[in-house]
Amino acid sequence: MRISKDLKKYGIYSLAVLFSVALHALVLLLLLSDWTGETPPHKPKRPNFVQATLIQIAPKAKVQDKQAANKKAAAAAKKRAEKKRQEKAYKKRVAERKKAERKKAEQKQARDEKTRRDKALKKKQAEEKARKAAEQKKAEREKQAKEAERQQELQRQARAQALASALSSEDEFLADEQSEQLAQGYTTYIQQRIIANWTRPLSARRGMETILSIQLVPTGQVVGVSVLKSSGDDAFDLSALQAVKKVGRFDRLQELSRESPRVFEQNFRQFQLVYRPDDLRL
Amino acid sequence: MPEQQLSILSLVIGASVPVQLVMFILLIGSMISWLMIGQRWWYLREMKGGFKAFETTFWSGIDLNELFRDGSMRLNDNETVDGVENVFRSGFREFNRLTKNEGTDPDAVMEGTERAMRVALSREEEKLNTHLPFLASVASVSPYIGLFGTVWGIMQSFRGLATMQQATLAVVAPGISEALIATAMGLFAAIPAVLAYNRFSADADALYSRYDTFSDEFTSILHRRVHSG
Repeated sequence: MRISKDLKKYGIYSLAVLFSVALHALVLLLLLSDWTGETPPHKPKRPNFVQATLIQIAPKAKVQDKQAANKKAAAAAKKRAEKKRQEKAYKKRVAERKKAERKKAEQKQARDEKTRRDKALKKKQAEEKARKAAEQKKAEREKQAKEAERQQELQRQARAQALASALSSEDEFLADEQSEQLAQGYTTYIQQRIIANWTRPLSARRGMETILSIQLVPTGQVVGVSVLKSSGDDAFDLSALQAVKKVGRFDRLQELSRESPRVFEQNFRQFQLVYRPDDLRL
Repeated sequence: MPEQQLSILSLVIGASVPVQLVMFILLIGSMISWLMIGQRWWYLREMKGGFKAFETTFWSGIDLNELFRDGSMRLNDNETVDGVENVFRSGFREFNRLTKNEGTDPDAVMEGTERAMRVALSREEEKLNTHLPFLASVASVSPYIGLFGTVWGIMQSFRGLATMQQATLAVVAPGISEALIATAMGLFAAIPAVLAYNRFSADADALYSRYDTFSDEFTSILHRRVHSG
């Protein structure tokens, strides 16, 4: 009886264990299969490139204008010609009647005159054509000149750009150099402050130097200092450490970090200082 | 898995030892609390069903001696007798034992029966409430444990940040993300535990009060019998 009771109890428990383990396994599986309910980041669509060409609108408009004007002029000319022709025809008819009445000999003369006039007209037309061709040629030449000019302009711009980028890189270089100089100045300041707070140990000798690793925060506060390379004399190292601790805060670094945080981050966030007091007499 | 995203597994593996310990504790806590939840759910369901079944047979006008004998037979057949039937059996047994001796004071009989039933009731209550304290502890403590892991992880990442030349978000972000997993796990353990604790303790209370009512009713039946007889 006891056994069966226990068995039933254990049956419930083992079911519960199974349930619990299965649930956690499921959750873990979901997590590991990176199910976070978010869609995978889709790749950015490649933009459709369109080959763009420069279209000069202004000349076209002019051409259109010209065409329109030409058309109008042509229409007007036609009208005028028509009128003239009608008048001419009327006159001709009258003249013909008169001429017919008059001598026919005069006709020949008139014809001669007419041919002469025709010739002159033809000549005029030819001249006009030549003039037009010349004009066209001139326009083409102008166009070519313009194109060349544009090319030159583009080249000039590219050159200017190259020059500007070169200048800017030079600026950067100069800025780096400048910041180095700036940092140098502040390093000297730090040295001076440490020396001012330094108590000379008895064992200090000429030529001793210790390399300190100092960590600062942008307020100039010293947050960490340690001896990186000992001078060989513990008392000297300790005195240098204590001097740095005594300074506690390099006030001028605050203005540096305010003015040019980059220089501060590069040079003074964590830096090594060769501590070598030069007024060691012994 | 996209490479630019940190996988959760790598974060867990790369976590510092205290954070990993916290995660481990939380995982164990969560597993055990789910075990309890499963067990409780099963047990309480069975108890409810058993109570209903027993009450219907009890009020069906069956002879109480027969009911008692039936239970004894089932016990002999290696079956469990649980819940309200235990209350009935202990009360009835005590009542029979006391009334066997002639001349016992009816009040004394009733007192003994009631005492026996009270004992059985409190035993049943204990059974109904097993594991619930554990669920309550998991529910209330695991967020704190998770929070501890997170705070520890963030502390570490900021300590690392202090020695950096340049502080960028990319330096601290993995540490914080890793630390936050601990909180997530704490909540994952706590939320089901809270829900289950509330649900199961309410169920257990309801069931217990029904047992109590039944024992009162049964007492009144026995009372009638002892005073009429």
